[in-house]
Amino acid sequence: MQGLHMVGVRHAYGKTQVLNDISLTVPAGELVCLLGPSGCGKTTLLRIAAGMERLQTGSVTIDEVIVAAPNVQLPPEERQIGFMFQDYALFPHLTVFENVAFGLFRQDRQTARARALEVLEQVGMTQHAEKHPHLLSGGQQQRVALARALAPKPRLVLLDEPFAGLDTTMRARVRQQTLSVLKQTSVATLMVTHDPREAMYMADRIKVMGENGQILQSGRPQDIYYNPAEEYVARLFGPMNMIEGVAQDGSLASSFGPLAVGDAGNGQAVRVLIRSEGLILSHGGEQPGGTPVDVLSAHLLGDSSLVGFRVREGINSGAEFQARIPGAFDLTGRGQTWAHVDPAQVFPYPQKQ
Amino acid sequence: MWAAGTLAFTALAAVPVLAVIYLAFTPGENIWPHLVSTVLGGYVTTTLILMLGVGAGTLIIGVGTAWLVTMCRFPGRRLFEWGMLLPMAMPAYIIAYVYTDILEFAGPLQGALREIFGWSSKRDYWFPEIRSLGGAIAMMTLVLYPYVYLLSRAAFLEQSVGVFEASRSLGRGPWRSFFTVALPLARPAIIIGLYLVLMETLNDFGTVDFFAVNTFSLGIFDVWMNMNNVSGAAQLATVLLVFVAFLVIGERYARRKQRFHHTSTKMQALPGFQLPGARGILATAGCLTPILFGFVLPTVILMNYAWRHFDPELTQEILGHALNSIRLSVLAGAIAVVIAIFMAYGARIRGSRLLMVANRIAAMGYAIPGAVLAVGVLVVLGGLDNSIDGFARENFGLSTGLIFSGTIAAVTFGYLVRFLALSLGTVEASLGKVTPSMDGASRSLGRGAFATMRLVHLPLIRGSVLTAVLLVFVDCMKELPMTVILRPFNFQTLATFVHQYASDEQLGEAALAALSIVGVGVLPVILLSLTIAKSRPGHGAGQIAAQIAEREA
Amino acid sequence: MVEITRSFEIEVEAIDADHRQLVEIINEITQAIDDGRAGECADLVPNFVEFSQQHFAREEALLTKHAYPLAEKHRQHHVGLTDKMKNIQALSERAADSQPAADALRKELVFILMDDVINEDLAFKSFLMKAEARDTSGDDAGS
Repeated sequence: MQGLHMVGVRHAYGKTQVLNDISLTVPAGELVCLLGPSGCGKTTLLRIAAGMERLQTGSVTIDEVIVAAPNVQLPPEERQIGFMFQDYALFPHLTVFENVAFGLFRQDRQTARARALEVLEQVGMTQHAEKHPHLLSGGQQQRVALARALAPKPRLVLLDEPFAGLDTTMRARVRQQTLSVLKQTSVATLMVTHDPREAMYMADRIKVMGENGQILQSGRPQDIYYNPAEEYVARLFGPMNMIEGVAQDGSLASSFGPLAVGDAGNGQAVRVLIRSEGLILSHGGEQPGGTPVDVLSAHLLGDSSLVGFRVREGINSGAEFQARIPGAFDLTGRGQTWAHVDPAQVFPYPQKQ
Repeated sequence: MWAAGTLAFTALAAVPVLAVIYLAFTPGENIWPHLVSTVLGGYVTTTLILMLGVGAGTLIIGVGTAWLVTMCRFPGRRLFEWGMLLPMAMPAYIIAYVYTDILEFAGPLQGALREIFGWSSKRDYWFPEIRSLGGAIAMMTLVLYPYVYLLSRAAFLEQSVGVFEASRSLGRGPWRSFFTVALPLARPAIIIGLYLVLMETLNDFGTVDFFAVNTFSLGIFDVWMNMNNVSGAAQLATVLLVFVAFLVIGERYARRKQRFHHTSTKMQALPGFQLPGARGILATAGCLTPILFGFVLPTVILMNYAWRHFDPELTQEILGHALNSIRLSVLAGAIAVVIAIFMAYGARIRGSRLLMVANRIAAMGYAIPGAVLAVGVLVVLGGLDNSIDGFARENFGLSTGLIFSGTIAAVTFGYLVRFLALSLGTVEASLGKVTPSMDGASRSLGRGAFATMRLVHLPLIRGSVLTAVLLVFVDCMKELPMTVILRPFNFQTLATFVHQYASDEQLGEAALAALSIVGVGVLPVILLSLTIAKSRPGHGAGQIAAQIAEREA
Repeated sequence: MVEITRSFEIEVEAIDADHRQLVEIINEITQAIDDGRAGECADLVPNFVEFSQQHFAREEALLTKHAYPLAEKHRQHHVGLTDKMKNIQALSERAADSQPAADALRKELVFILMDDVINEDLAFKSFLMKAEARDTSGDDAGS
């Protein structure tokens, strides 16, 4: 199969195991994102794929060619890859054009020139071709780095935190451009990031990596967000509301009504996490299925608001929760506030005894 | 290939020292008991006193001026920032020749005093004897204090001003704050500076030879040249190596501590205590004195001599020696930098512990006094010549004689072993500033290790490569003990020429040559000054310190 | 077109054959989508799901037979794929009217097979190869 195939990769620095039996497949044209906290070894995996780090255990195959195995170790220059570094690593002594043409030395001058200009065009940097990198903005440097990586038509593109160096306003735009260029090239792409939203935006498949260097969950962004396999994965996407208790008849009693606890047996301790966007607030008279709450605070974040409230009745009476609601929250009047739970945003985790 | 090459270079660099040690423990004729009972005690005491004196002197001048220049405001401070470095350009032996000429009994100063006071003989008055241990201490202190100055200055600049001001706000005065806060924080850097000073002290040959101060370096020469005893020289050299080992261990220890102290606190512009009126003038005078006696005065005197003794024929001869010096030094500088690039880049791309250790070992030559290295190189090359000769006689029935001994190659080899550290340190430091992702970028774009070095690293570190060549070049131009021992018969460099003429009390004739050496020595001072000028307070000063520390390490 | 290339082989024929069969079903589905017959997906995808379940059962039996120490963990992994199977079934029903759904289905099928199924199976490749080899040679000796 065309693309990247890594099997059973383990890696240790001294006694610290940073990669623990990682396998992954990136078919040509797809983008797989490795999502994990900083220092979890995801960049090491990328460097192993590139040949910048020596493989210790496992194997790496690119387009059906074994590039690394216990007895094979192709140097990076023989792997036909494009690597984009977090710091872009543009050569400061070369112009934008020379940077992009750097990997095109195997072609004759004219072909190389045409190809370099073609990729520069693709990322919209043609007019800066003669500039040196230090004259460019962060976003422009990022685009040059992408063009440079893509110019030799690599079989695999590796992106190491490609947007970490950009400010938030720029990030969304560059992200969209990058994705569209990569999809045009239909090359296999492996990207690492610690930003879950970035991973969700870019990836066809996300692989979540934990601090122990293991893959905790693989799947589409939807799977990761709506079916987080572990508490750790669920918490990646922001702070969670938590209710703990004991399961009874497949559910946990709460002020919000019974919450499904999956396959937790009777009497088993269970922790239920509820996303802040999974708590829905409404106003007015009695709301069926809702529980009355006292609003404590409201912070407008722009497109949404974070509202802190205290439950007034039932088993969780007095407990505080946080809801994220669309738009601004009107604190003035309008009667009683009620809270509901969106069952799709409730994640039960039976606790080990 | 990187590993094999690096290990080969390291082996070459280590062989002379190992040969000395080996020879010391397998003496042909054991004069060790004799050495112990006669001269050894004297060598040890003299060397220790010399180190103590130079150490104390350079500490006081170096730390004191560094503190004044970084923390206080007084007339001429900006000038002193780099001016304090000028005596670095002056080899100790040259300043020794100059002051001896001025201060000895027949010299102009004592002559003038006798004239004024009507004294007629030595018995009529007391005048300090320049050709003495005290004289040697004074000479070396005057030209070596810049090492301590440079590192202390950098350390003071790196200290968070906040720490110092906190101390003052807690009720400690500036003097007490200096001794209880600033000085302890700067101590590791100061110790590294002191280490460099003591290394140079142990290495010195010209001064102690001229002053007949019996240190180890001189002892090794004496036993070697006059007593013609190789093993004895090797044994003395080994004892000297023990001194060196102590220094190296002390320095490593200080460096480890320094890393601990290196907290990255926010840097602010230094406060700059205004020194009013008389105190300001006192500070100015305090900074001016070492520059005056360590550089300005000797230079002016040399210029005067060179003018008065100008002789076209002799100048022609000096020009020839200068060419010899330049050829040798350029050769050594070029080879050293090529080896340094190879070794530094090899360690970088391999990232192996072995190569890094090998590089550190190869750089140890800088800590080995020239006299010891000279003995080692002679022994190794002599042995090599003998075996080639023996082999040729046996197999071809002809004698090849001495192929390497007493050749330019031998001198160059000695220079390389001793000064490789300069080029290696400089190249390593600048390669270290190139982020590893540059390598990755180039390699992933299909370029191999060599192409990456040629297309990415070399263009990026070009400036440092030139600096590396320059540093080795300058130190080779000034080098005396190894050149004296290893040079071909009748072959003179500027340094050996000055040494020979000055020893014959003909400094006037050698003044032009001495001036040339000083002139070359000014080059790295200019380089350092430029770096200092570029570095604003609290910014980049650490880099100079790192560069210096690195180049000496 | 997907295919089982060298690095995806478990080198235990029974399992590789199952994987190849699954690949065939996927290629059939892909072909249907490419030919504008996305409507057939709703019929084809259940084949994939069903055959996967059979494959899982066969594989689990084999692992138990050879006393693979992590057999239970692998079974759990199979159970964990239930949601994804439901997902692709849901996608297959919308594939006829929605190009994005068809595209997502095509992608997800490949990932499920190549990443979730085969990559996890590769974990016991060497264990199973040795176990099978031992069995075969044992049989030879017996006959």
